Amino acid sequence: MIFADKEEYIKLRNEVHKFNLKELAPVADESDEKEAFPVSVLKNAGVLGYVGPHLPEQYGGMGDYYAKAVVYEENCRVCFGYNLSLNASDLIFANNIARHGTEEQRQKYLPGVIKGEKIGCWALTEPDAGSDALSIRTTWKKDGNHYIINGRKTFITNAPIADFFIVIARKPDSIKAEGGCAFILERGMEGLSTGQPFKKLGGRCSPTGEIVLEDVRISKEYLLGKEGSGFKDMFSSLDIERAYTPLSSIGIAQSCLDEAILYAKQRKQFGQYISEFQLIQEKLAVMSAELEVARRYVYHLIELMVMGKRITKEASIAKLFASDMVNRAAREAIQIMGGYGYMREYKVERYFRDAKLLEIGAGTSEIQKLIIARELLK
Amino acid sequence: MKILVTVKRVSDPEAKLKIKPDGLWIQTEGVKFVVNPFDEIAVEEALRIKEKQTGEVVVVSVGDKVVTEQIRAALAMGADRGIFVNYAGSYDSYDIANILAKIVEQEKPDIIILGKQAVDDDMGQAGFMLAELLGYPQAAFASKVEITDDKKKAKVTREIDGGLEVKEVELPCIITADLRLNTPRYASLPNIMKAKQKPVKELTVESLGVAVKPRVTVKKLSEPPKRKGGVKVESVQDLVSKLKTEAKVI
Ligand SMILES: Cc1cc2nc3c(=O)[nH]c(=O)nc-3n(C[C@H](O)[C@H](O)[C@H](O)COP(=O)(O)OP(=O)(O)OC[C@H]3O[C@@H](n4cnc5c(N)ncnc54)[C@H](O)[C@@H]3O)c2cc1C
Ligand SMILES: Cc1cc2nc3c(=O)[nH]c(=O)nc-3n(C[C@H](O)[C@H](O)[C@H](O)COP(=O)(O)OP(=O)(O)OC[C@H]3O[C@@H](n4cnc5c(N)ncnc54)[C@H](O)[C@@H]3O)c2cc1C
Repeated sequence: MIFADKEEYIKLRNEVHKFNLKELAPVADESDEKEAFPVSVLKNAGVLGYVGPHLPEQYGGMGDYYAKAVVYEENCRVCFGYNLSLNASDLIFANNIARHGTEEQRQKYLPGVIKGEKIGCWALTEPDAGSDALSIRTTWKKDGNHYIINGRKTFITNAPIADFFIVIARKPDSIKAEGGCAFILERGMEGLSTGQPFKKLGGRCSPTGEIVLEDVRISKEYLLGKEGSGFKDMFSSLDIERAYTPLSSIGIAQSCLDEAILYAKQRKQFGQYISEFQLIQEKLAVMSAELEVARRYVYHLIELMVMGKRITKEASIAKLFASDMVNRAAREAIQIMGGYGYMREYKVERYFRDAKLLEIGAGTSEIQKLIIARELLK
Repeated sequence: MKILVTVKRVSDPEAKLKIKPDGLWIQTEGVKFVVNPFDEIAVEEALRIKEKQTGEVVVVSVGDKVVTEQIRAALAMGADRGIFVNYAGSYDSYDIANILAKIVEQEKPDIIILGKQAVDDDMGQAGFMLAELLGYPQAAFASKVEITDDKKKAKVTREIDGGLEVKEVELPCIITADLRLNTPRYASLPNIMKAKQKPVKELTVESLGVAVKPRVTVKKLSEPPKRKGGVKVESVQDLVSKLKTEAKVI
C-alpha cells in the first residue's frame, strides 16, 4: 500500500489541512500582497511537529519522510510561498546538516529549525552561475585554522530572514567538482550581509534575496562535511530534495481544480451552470487526469527515495511533468473562472503566479530534460 | 483522575447534506464524517484536566466499525485509550445513556464529560439521562471547569440567560461541554502516529447487558423551506407598515 493511503497519513493530511485552513489560509493573501513571511504560522506548526518530521528523532523530528511529504503537499494546497521558505529551512538546510554535519553541528542547528523558531537557507546560485552550478565563483581560502570566504549569492530563498546559512564555495582556481566546500554561517557574522527581498511574480511571501560575503572569517567548526567534498555532498543530498519538489505542483494543482469545480457549479451563463458545458467539463476532466497521474507518480518517487534507490531520472521526470501540469491547471482554472479568475480577489490568480516558479527553481525544465536524456542515453 | 469522554461520529457540519429517498436519514455516501464538535471540546477539556492532575482519558463511542475512526481521532488529540461499543442498529438517547451507564460501572471514572449535544440530531439528552440513571450530580453546558484542590469537587461555570452560574458538584460527576469551554487542539504529528498503537477495547451491547429499544424514532426528515427573495421598500413608513401587517413583529 502506498504510504498516502495508510490510515495514519490520511489522518495527518486531514489534520494539517485543518490547521492550514484555520492558521495559514487567512494570512496567505495578505502575506502575498505584503511579500512578508508568516512567521507565527511556522512557530505554531513547529509546536505540532509539522516542521522537519523527516529529521532524526534525537533533534526533535520523527525520522518520517512520508509525513514530510504529506505536510509538504498540504502546505502547497494553501500557500506555496510558505512552503517554499519552510522547504529551504527544514529540508534543504536541515537535511544537509543532518547528513553531512558533525554531532555538534546537528545539536546546534537542528532543534531550533524543527521547532520552527529558527530559519535556515541554502545558497548555491550566483549572479553568473545558475543552471551551471559548478561555475560558481564564491571562494574560500585557508588562514591557519580559519577559512576566509568571499563572494556573492543571489536568488536565495530566506536570505533576508534566515538565522543560519549554508554557503557553497570553491577553492580559487579549482575546476569542476573539485575544491568545493560547504560552510555554515550565522547572521551577525562579520562580513556577511543580506539584501532587501526581491520583488517577484509568485511565491511572494517567501523572501528571496542576495547574500554578500566579504572576508567572512570563520573557524573550522563551521565547515560542513569534509574540505573539498562540498559539491559531492551537495549532489548526494539533492535527490532527496528533488523527490519532494514536484509535490508543490500537486498541491497547487489540487487547489486549482477545487476552486474551478466550485466556481463552475455556481456560475450561470446562457441560462445554465457553466459546469454543464462540455467545453468546461473537458477542462476539468483533463486537469483531474493529469493531476492524479502526476500525484501517484510522485508518491511512487517518494517511496523509491525512502528505499534509498537512485532516483536521478525519476525525480526529473516527476519535476518536469508535474510543473508543466500545474501551469496548465492554473491557466485552465483562471480560464474557467473567466474575468473573476483574473482578479486578485480569487485565489487562482495567486496559484497561477506561484506555479511558474516550478518550471524554474530547483533546476529548470530544460535542465530536467537534459538529465532525463543523459540517463536514457548512458 | 480518570475521565471518560464520549465521542459521536457525525456528518461534517460544513458538508452539504441530502436526504435519502425514504426520508428517514441523510445520504451518507461521499459525506465526510467527523467527531461531534461538542465532543471534541469535551476531549480537549479532559486532556487539560489530565495535564494538570495526571490520570487517564478514556474515550467511548457507540456505532458500527466506522466509529473507530472518531475514537482514533480523539486518541490522536492525546486521549489514552478507547472503548468501541459495536452496535449497528438504530438507537435513541436513552439507549446511549443505558450503554454509557454500564461502561461507567466497569470503568469507574471520576468525571464523565459529554458534548452538550450532537450536531446531527441535536437531541441533547444523553448527559441528563446518564446522570439520572447513575444518580450522579451533573453540570450541563459548562463554559469553565475547575477541579478543587482536594480533588473531590468540580467547580463548573455555565452560561445562562443574562449571566453566569457557578455550580459545585461532587465527583464522580457528569459535565456537558458548551461551545466556549475551550478551543480544541490540533493533533500533533507524534500523537497521530502514537494513536495507532493505543488500545481500543471492543464491546457489544449484549456483553454489556443492554437491550437496545429506541423509544424515539425518526419519522421524516425534510429540508428547511427555501428562503423567499426579499423585497425592497420605498420608505420608512412602508417598512414599518410591512413589519406590522406582514411580518407581524412589531
Ligand atoms: C524564487 C526563487 C528562489 C530560489 N531559491 C534558491 C535558493 O534557495 N538557493 C539557491 O541556490 N538558488 C535558488 N534559486 C535559484 C534557482 O535555482 C535558479 O534560478 C535556477 O537554477 C536557474 O538559474 P538561473 O536563474 O541563473 O537561470 P539560467 O541558468 O541562466 O537559465 C536561463 C535559461 O537558460 C536555460 N539553460 C541554461 N542552461 C541550459 C542548457 N545547458 N541547455 C538548455 N537550456 C539551458 C534555462 O533552462 C533557462 O531557461 C531560486 C530562484 C528563484 C526564482
Ligand atoms: C481586466 C479585464 C478588463 C475588462 N474590461 C471590460 C470592459 O472594459 N468592458 C466590458 O464590458 N467588459 C470588460 N471585461 C469583462 C470581460 O469581457 C469578461 O470577463 C468576459 O467576457 C468573460 O465573461 P466572464 O468573466 O463573466 O466569464 P463567463 O462568461 O462567466 O465565463 C466563464 C467560463 O465559462 C465559459 N463559458 C461561458 N459560456 C460558455 C458556453 N456557452 N460554452 C462553453 N463555455 C462557456 C467561458 O469561456 C469561461 O471559460 C473585462 C475583464 C477583465 C478581466
